[in-house]
Amino acid sequence: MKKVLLVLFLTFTLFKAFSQSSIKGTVTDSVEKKNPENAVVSILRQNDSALLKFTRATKDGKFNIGQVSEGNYLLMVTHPYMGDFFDIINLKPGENNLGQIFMTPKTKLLADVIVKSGSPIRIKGDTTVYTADSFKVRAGANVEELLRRLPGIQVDKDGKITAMGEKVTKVLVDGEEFFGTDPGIATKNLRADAVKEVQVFDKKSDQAEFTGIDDGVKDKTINLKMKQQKGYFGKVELGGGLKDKYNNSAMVNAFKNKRKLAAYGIMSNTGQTNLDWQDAQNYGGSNSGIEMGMTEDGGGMYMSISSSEDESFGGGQNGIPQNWSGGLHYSNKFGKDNKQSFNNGYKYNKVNAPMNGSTFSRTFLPDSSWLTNNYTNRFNSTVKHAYNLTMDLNLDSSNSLKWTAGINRKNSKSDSHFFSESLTENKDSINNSDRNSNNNTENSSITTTLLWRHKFKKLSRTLSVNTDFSWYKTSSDGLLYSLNKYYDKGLLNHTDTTDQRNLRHNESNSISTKIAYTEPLAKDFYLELSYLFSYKNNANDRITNRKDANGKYEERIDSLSNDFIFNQLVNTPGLNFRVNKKKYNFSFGTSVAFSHFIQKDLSKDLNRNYNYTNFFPRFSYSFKPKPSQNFRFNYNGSTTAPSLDQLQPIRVNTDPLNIYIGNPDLKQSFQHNLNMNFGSYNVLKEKGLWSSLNFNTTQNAFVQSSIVDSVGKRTYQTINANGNYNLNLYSDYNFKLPKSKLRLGIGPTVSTYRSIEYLNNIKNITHTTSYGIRVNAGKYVENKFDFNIAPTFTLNKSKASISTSANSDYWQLETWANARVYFLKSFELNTNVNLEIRQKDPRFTQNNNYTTWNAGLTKRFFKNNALEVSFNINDILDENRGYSRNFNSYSFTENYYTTLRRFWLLSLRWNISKNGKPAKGF
Amino acid sequence: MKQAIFISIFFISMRSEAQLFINAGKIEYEVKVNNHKTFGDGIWAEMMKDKLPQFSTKYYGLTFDNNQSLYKFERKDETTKTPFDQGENEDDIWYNDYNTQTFIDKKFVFDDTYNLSDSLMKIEWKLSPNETREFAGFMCRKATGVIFDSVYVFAFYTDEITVSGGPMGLHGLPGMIMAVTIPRMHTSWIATKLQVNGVNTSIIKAPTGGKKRKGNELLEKVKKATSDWGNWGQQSVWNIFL
Repeated sequence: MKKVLLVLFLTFTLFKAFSQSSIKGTVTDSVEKKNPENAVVSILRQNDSALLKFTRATKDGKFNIGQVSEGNYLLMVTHPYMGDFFDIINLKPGENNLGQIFMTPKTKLLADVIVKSGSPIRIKGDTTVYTADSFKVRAGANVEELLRRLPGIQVDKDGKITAMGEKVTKVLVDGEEFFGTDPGIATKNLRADAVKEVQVFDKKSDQAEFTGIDDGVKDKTINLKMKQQKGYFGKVELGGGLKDKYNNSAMVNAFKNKRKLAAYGIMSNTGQTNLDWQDAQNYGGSNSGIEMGMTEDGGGMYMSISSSEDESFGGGQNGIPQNWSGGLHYSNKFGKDNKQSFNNGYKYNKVNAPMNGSTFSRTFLPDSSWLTNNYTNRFNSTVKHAYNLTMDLNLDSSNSLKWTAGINRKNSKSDSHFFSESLTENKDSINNSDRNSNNNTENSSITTTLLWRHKFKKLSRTLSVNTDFSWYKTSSDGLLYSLNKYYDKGLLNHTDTTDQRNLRHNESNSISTKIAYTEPLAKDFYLELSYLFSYKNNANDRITNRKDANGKYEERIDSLSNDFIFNQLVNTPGLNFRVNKKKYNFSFGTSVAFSHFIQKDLSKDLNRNYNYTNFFPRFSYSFKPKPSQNFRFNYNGSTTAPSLDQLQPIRVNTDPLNIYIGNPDLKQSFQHNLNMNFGSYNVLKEKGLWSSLNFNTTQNAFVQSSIVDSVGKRTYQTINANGNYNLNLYSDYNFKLPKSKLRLGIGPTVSTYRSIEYLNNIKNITHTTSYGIRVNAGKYVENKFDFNIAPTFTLNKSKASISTSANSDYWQLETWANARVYFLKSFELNTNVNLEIRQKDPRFTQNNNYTTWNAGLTKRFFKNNALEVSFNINDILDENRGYSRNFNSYSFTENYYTTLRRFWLLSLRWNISKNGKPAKGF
Repeated sequence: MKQAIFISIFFISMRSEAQLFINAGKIEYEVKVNNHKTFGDGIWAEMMKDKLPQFSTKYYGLTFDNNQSLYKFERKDETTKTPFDQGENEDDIWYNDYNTQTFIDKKFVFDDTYNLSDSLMKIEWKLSPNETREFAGFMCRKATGVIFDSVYVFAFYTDEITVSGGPMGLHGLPGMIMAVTIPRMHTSWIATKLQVNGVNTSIIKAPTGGKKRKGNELLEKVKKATSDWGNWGQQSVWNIFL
C-alpha cells in the first residue's frame, strides 16, 4: 500500500507585511462528492501569475495556507483528473475561510472547440499553407502576431496556439525542432518578416516516422518555413602614400542561403600580396589553407594551417614586391540538412619583385682564411593561376566521400646580375666572377585526393581509404654568362668564361593509397590496422648547350647534361594499439616500410636498384591527472628519401665558383623524434605552466661535403653522415596580478644542435647552443585598450671543430610590443615596436641594432562603421634593415637585402553589407 | 500489492487510479545540448558546425523519495559526443532536501572536486496553467522562471508527483519538473520515463568527499575567474552552479 503524505511547502516564507492572512478551505468533487486528495491549491499574483504559495489538499480535501499578506490574488486549484478551478480572492487580515471548492471531473467537461473557417487557403495534401507576406503585420512583429492574423489559427493571451480547433503542440522551424519544440519559444523569438510560409499539419510521432507504423499518435504541428537568406557583404579599400606606395583592394561576397559567390582583387606594393586568413575565409575558398577535422576515433579535433610557397612572398629576402591578385569563389551546400557541399575557386596572382642584396662572409680553414663578397641585382616576375575544388558527399549516416582537386600553373621569369669576389685577409684578390643570367620557368601540377570513410554499426569500428594522385611538370630555359678571373698573389693569373643555355625538364607522377581500419577490441581499447602503398616516378632531363661559333647555343656539353629517372615503390603495413582512458591514454605500434628504389641514368645507360626495409616504431603516452593538466611523451621514427636533384650524377654550374655535383650513392635517412611536454592551467588561481622538450637525431643524415681548391673554387655534394642531433627546451609560466589584472609570463628556453659537414675531406662538427629567457606582460580591457610587451634575451654560442676563428659568443635582445587604445567612441590608435639589439662583434663592423616602429590611427564613421579612414606610418624611425647574420661553423656571413622602410599610407575603407556580415575569428 | 509497475510513455494506458499520486521513484531525463548554438558565430564556429553533431545527448537520473532527491549522470549517446566532452562532470551529484530547502552537491569544478552546500536558489515562477504538454505520460503545466538574475527557464511540471523538485537545483513548483528548456544554455532536459517500483531510494543521501565550500562562496570565485571569458565564462558559471 502506498503511504499517503501530506506535504506542506513553505517556499516563500519571508514576506514583508504588516497584517498576515491565512486561507483555509476544502476541495470537493462536484460529481462524486468525494474529497480529491493531493489537489494542488496555489496562490498566484494577479497581474503576472507569479506563483507565491502552494499546498496540497489532505485526505479529506482540506487545505491551509498561512503567511500571505492581504490583498487580491488568483486562486488556482488543480488535480490531474479534475478540471482546473480559478477564482479571484480577496484576503482580509486573519483567517479567510473559502469554504468548499467544487471541482468537476474532466469526463464531464465538454471541449469547446471553435473552428473558424477562413478565406481560401492553399491545401497541399494534409498540409495547410499560408503565405506569410499576404498577411500584414507591423514592422518588427514576431511570429506570434503573424499567427494571430492567420484564419483558422488562434493564439490566446498566454501564447497557446490552436489550429483548426486543435491545440498546436509543436512549432518547427524549417522542419527542425526549435529548442525542444516548445511552441512559445519559436513564435515569440522569431521575426514575422523572416517567415515565408506557415504550414499546418499533423505530425506523426517520431516513433511512427522511424518505424513506418502509424501508431495513431498525431501532433498538430506548425512548420515555419523561413525566407531564404539572401544578401551580400564586402569592402573597398583605397590606400595611397609616400613614396609611391599604394594598397588597394575590393572584396565582395554575395550569398543566398548556403550558396556563396565571392570575388576579390588586390593591388599593392606595401607587402600585402594575398588575402589575410580572415579575408580568405570570407572572400576566398573555404579551403584556403585552413582546415579543421576530427581525429579518427572522434576523441579529438585538429586544425591545420598550410600555406603554399609563394603566398609568403611579402617578407624575407625577396625585396619589395608589387602585387596584383584576384580570385573568384563559388560554393554551395545541398541535400538534406545541407550535408553535401561543393566548393571551387580560381586564383590569379602576379608578383613583380625587384631585389638588391649583398652578402659579406669570412671563411676559416685550418691552413687559410679568406673573405667573400657577393652583390646581387635581381628582378623576378611570377604569374600564377590556380584552381581548386572540394566536394564533400555524406552518402548516408555511415559513408562519406571527400574529393579534392587542384590545378596550378606558374610562370616565373628572372633576370639577375651577380658579382662575387674572394679576397685574402690583406684584401688581395683570389678570384672574382661577373655573372648575368636569365631564366624562364614553367610549373604545372594536378593533384587530387579521394577519401572514403565508413563507420560500421559497431561504435568506433571504422574503415577509411584515401587515394592521392599527383602530377608535376617543371621546365626551365635559361641563359648564363659568366666571366671568371683567378688571381695568384694578387695578380691576374687566368680567366675563363661560361656562356651557355640551360634547359631542364622535370616530370613526376605519384600515386598512393592508404587503407586504415579501426577495431574496438574492448571498451577503451582499439586496434588500428593500416596499409600504405605508394609509387612515385620522377624524371629529370638536364641539357646544357655551349654557345657555338655561329652564336647559337646548340653544342651540347656532355659533362653538364644528363637524363635521369628515379622511381620509388613503397609498401607499408602497420599495426597499432591504442588505449583511451579518462586519466591516461597510450598507444604503441609499428609499421614496416618495404622500399624499392630504382635509379636509371639514361645518358650513361646505367641502372641501380636498392631495397630497404625500415621499421617505424611509435609510442605515445599521455597522462591527465586533472582535466587542465596534461603530460605527454611521444616517440616516432621516419625516413626521408633523397631527392632527385641530390642523386642525379651531374655538375650544376649555375654559379661557376660554387659547383654542385649529384651523388647517386645517397642512402635514405632515418630520423628519431622524441617529444615530452607538460601543460597545466589553474582556472581559479589564473596561472599556468607549459613546458616541452624535443630531441631528434638522424641516421644517414644528408650533409654537405665541399672541396675548395687553391683558387677558391668550391665543388660540393650531399653525402650521408651520422651524428646530427638537436635538442630544444621551451617553457612558459604565466599568471595574473590579482588587483591590476595584468598578465605576466616568464619562460626560459634552451636549444642546442650538433651538425656535421665535410670540408676538403675533413669532418667538421659544429655545436651551437642558445639560452634564452622571455618575459611578457599584457592587459586587455574590451573596447578600451590592450597592450602587450615581450622582451627576449638570448645568449648564443657556436663552436666548430675545424677552426676556432668563426666561433661566436654573443648576446641578443629582441623586444616586441604593441598597444591599442579606443577613444572618443570611434577612434582607434594602434602601434607596435620591434627592437633588436645585438652584442657588438669586432668581426662585424656595421651597426646592427635597430628599431622598427609602426603606428596607425583609424576613425570610423556611420552606422555599423560603414566607412573607416586610417592613417598609418610604417617604420617611423626609418631604421628597418633587411639584415641577417649567420655563423656557419668555419665561416660567418652577414646578409643585407632591400626591404620595406619608412612610408605612410592614407586609406579609406568602405564596408558594404546587406543582411550579412563577414565572419570574425573564433 | 508489490507488483512492479513500470511507467513510461509507451505504457500510459496501464496507469491506474492506484498510482494517481507519486511520491517516490526515479525519472530519467534526456539532456540535449545544441552544440552548434554554443559555438556561436565566427570562422572556427562555422568549421566546427560542419564537423560536429548538432545535438549531444546525455541521460541523467533523478531519484526522489521522502521529499529529498538525488540527481546524477547515467549514460550518454556516444555517437553524439563531441571531443570537448571529456566526461569530467559525469561523477557530479546533486542532493536536494526540499524540506529544509538546502542542497549538498559534489561537483568537479575546473580542477578539483568540491562538496558544496547552501540553500536552494530562490526562483520566482510565473505559471501559464493553460499551457499543457505531456511528458513521460504525465500532463504537465508550463511555468517560466528566472535564474542567475537574467537567465530564462521554461519548465513543465506535473502535480501528479508530490515532490516539488526537478533536475539539478531547479525546484519550487507545485509538483515535479518533467521538462526544462534554457534557451541561453542551448540545452533542454526532458523526462523520458518514470520508474516507480523497484527503485533503490537508499542512494538518496548527501554526497561525501571533496573540498567543503559554501556554494555561493565558490560561485563568486568562479564568476571572478571567468569574468574575462565573455559568453563562454557565463556559460561555465551556469553549467557549474545550476
